[in-house]
Amino acid sequence: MSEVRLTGVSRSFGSTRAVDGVSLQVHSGELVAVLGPSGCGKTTLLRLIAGFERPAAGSVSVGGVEMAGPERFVPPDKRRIGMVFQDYALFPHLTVRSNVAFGLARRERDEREALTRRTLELVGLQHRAECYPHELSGGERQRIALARALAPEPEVVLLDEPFSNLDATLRAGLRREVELILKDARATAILVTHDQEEALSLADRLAVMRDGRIVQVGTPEQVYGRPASRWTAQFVGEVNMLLGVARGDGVETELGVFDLPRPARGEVHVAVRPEQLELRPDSQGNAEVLEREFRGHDVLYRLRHENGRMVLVQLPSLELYDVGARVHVRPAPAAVTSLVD
Amino acid sequence: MGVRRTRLDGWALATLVAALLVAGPLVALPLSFVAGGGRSVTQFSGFLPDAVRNTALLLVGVGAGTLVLGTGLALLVSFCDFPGRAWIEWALVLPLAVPGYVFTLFALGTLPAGGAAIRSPLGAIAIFTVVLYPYVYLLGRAAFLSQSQALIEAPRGLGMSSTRAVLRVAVPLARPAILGGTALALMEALADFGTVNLLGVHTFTDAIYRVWFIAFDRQAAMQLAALLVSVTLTLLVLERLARGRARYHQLAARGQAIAAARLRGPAAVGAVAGPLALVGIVVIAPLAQLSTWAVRSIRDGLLAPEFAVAARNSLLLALMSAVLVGGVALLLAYGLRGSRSRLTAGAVRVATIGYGVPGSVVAVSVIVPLAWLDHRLDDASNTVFGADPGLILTGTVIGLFAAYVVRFLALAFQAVETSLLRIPQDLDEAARGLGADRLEVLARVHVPLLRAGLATAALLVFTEVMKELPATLLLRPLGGDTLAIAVWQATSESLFRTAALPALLIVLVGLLPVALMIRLSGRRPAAIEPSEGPEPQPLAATTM
Repeated sequence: MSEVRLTGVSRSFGSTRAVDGVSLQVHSGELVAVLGPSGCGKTTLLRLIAGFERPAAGSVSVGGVEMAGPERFVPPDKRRIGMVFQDYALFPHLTVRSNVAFGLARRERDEREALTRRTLELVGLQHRAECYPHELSGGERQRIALARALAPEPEVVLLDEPFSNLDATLRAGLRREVELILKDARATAILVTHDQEEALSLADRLAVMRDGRIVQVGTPEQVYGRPASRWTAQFVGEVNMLLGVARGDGVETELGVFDLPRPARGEVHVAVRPEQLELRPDSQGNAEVLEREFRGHDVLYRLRHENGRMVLVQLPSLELYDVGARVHVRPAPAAVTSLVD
Repeated sequence: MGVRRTRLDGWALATLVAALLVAGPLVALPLSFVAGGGRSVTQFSGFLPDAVRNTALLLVGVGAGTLVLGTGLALLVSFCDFPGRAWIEWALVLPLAVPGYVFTLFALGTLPAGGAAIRSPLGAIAIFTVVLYPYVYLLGRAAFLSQSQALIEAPRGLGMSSTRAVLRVAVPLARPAILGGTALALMEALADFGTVNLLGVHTFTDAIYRVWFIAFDRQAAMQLAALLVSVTLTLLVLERLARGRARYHQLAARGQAIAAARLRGPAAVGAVAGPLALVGIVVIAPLAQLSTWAVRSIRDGLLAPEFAVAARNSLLLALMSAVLVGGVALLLAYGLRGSRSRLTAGAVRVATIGYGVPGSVVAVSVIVPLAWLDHRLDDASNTVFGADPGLILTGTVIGLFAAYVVRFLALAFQAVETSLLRIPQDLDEAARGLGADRLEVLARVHVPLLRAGLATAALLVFTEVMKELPATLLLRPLGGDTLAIAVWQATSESLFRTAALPALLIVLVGLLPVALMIRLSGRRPAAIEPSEGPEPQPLAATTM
């Protein structure tokens, strides 16, 4: 498996710049999630890597070989890139085995059969080899689509919203399974999704995309904990945006004093995650519970602060406050906020 | 800076060239007025007034006839229920299998005094009406069935009788479909040569034939053809416009389907007897009479000696055309799918107007470029090899194939494209990503998935070529008679029994696509979606 390097890649449709000067490097064996709202250009980015679109500017290289650039365009069938489509795109007239073997047409018969068998074992579906796609469950189709992409031992695997067609209950389990399969195959993989939870839980690194540009790249912890902008902070998880006055290592806000990741002075905007706040019952408290959203392992409270603003607080579901209760909201111990623009 | 690249790859180029080859002759037709110089249509003014008058008469008469008959029958089966409705509904489609000239053969052979009564424009109108009304009937019925019960019930709540409600609401709503069907019927009537020729009604197609074979003036034939094609294209545009609006009208119709009113007593008897009589006269009686004649012709040795040759020619021509036209249609549809070139798309659209164009026009417009090419080839071969191969395109079956491609491409293209559009683009990309080039995608993904569409396309072309008369008549090589020509020739010499067996074969073959259509509309189209969401499809699974 090889690294992927995008340099200043752009692609427009009419007057919309779907992908606008994107540079990104994906290391060999790494799983990178491109996360963004629908219409941000992330699928176009994937299609540029696969060769289904031609960049208007910039270059795409895989394993150090230029695939698309000002002077060169390698068609998709010559790129050795596996792709898993949102709706799987399994060939309805072929059995599972033939689907998986589709990309092995030019191999020797023995090699083809061995690779097909091994890949089916990898996704744990060797017992479904003679079925047709419509006889499979959604999760099985998904794994076959992945197997079909992996069988020819591609340089890179691209996954376009691979879990969006699945039931919520299936999704979590399959996510883990796909992650294991990809790691097992030592695949370099790029996954496109609009689901932040999926991106955070699955990826080695995230690339957050907005309006055709990549606005932040980092590990899930970095992107969630240190969002580079207000927009990213709000897109990746829930957040309270506060105005405060920074005094060195701390920032004073209307909700109390938070630690800063790096020293600063003067007026700053900070992003405070709901779990960085805590509550205690207080009939003279500074806030009132407006709504309670019970989510099983935790609870999200929507509070009205005495100064009128809304505050989101997330607590373990052990602590329950009723709607209408008076509470005191304050920073959790050692809560480090992030500075945003 | 983005450099705008042209996306004309090999496939798009091949598609463009094929489309231009097909469209070229038709587009060039009007040039005959400019290019020819010298002689012009005015020198054959003897033909022109008759042709204009009779063609206009036919248009008005056939238009009114098919409109009334087709709409009436569609109303009957859509809004009334009577014993045997399910059967009668489909029996009313059968006249589509009977070419006008075959029904003419039957009528001339059975009516007293050699059918003197129908050898007139009025007779031609009557014949066209009974064989072409199914176009109006089918489209009208589809439109009525898509209307909702509420549309009929609402005016009834306002105190309108149900008959008035149907006439005042349902019919106007179905107007685009009905007019579209009428336009199709009129295009068929305009394209006809056999019927009008056998009845001695001098129309445009007949005039083209006579100018071609009697006066040997291709220039004038082309000019006549150009005039005729302008009328046809007007109809084609009207039909397209009507179809566009029909879609809009049907969008407005939602909810419970219409409930048919049960007919009783004399009304029910009439509802059964009327359609049965019609189908009896147009399909059953000719089939019975032709069979009797055919048996007698075999017994009495009246069969034309060329019958076997004609049957073989017809079969070979139809088979080879089916493969050829199907192949070109597949190339165009597939080339169009992968291409983003507007030029290619436009060329394909133009190439597929041929079906609206009468066979005689196609023949005339194909022959000129072919003849030119032929002479160049002949000259070239003379210079290079010193040998004179003669005319290899126009003098042989190649010219005929060219005409069939131009004439029937639209038919095959539509069948192929409809199936192709149902294959998700993702499948192409999945295959490309797995290392298949475009030809492999076609061979390994599309062709297996298109089997039904390709078979339909081939069947349609096969049956159309079997019954095609005017283009075949004008372009056939020496000794290349077909069944259709045999029918026409024998009938024009009043040798009805000799004509019977070839005519019978043509009708029987013509029944195939009609049967296919009935079968297809009787069940839901087969789904080929690769994925239907998260749940497995138990129903689909049992059908494998």
